[in-house]
Amino acid sequence: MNILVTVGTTRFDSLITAVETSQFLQSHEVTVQCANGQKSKNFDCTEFIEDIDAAYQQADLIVTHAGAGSVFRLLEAGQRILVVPNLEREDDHQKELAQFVDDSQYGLVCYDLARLDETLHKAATFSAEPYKKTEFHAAQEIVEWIKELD
Amino acid sequence: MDSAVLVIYGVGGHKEEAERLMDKLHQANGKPLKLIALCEEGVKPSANVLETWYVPEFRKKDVRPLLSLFDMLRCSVCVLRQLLKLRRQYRVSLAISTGPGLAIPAFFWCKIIGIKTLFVESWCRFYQRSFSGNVCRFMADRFYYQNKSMQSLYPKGRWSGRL
Repeated sequence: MNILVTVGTTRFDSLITAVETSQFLQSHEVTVQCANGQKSKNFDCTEFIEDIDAAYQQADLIVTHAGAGSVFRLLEAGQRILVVPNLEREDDHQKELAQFVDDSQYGLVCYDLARLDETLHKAATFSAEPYKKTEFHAAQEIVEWIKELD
Repeated sequence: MDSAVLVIYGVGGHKEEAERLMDKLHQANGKPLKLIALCEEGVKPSANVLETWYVPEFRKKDVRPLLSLFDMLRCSVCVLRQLLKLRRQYRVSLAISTGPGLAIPAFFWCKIIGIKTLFVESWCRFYQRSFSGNVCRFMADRFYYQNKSMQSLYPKGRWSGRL
């Protein structure tokens, strides 16, 4: 499998450490997008992927932090995802999005990095629910309000 | 003097939300709106806005509380200075934010100087209010939340659907 690990713009050291020690990942092709000087000893590691959407498309499985920009783009693209909330962050908003993905069965979630390998095994065959959303429908009323204010 | 709408956003998910919102506003208007961005230093300029105005980071999450308070005050003063400068160039009719902490001082000063405000709670909030959403709900002239599960937490807000 072609696996992409992405941490977004904030360091996520415990995920990178878990990825490096994962037995499961040793037997797959892995690309790691890291942040702020993070390094990976075992895998190709880059801070910035020029065409992230193309990288998503090429991957069979994406291990992602629970940043909203990444998760929603991946769900919209119908990618197979394993979400790891970054609990190293002081604010815990990633936990909410991870819980949403978990509750909706849109992907697998790994809350405990000691169980990353076990979750990766499950993710390889997991059948996710298709992502559904109610599109943003307030743009017209906002534009009308802007015109009124002008 | 040209009128413009101020859009306040940050990095990562907040920027992605703001970009999507601005796309939708341009589309709904039928032609590009005059949008000006107010962002923390380091945010890359967006193609959706005419100009990007910068202020220092509002809330550093990895520093001691006292330093954090100092940063907030410094940022707040810079926000006021930028708003006053901006008003000399544009008639700012509305300030919109998709929710970084920077929205708090920006909305505060907007209320004081008479600019209407619109807050869109972050799309990653399903069960709890965000810090900025919790504060800005008292200041915003119009408040939207993207996930229907937030309805009970924002009874006076409007459900917008997800960006």
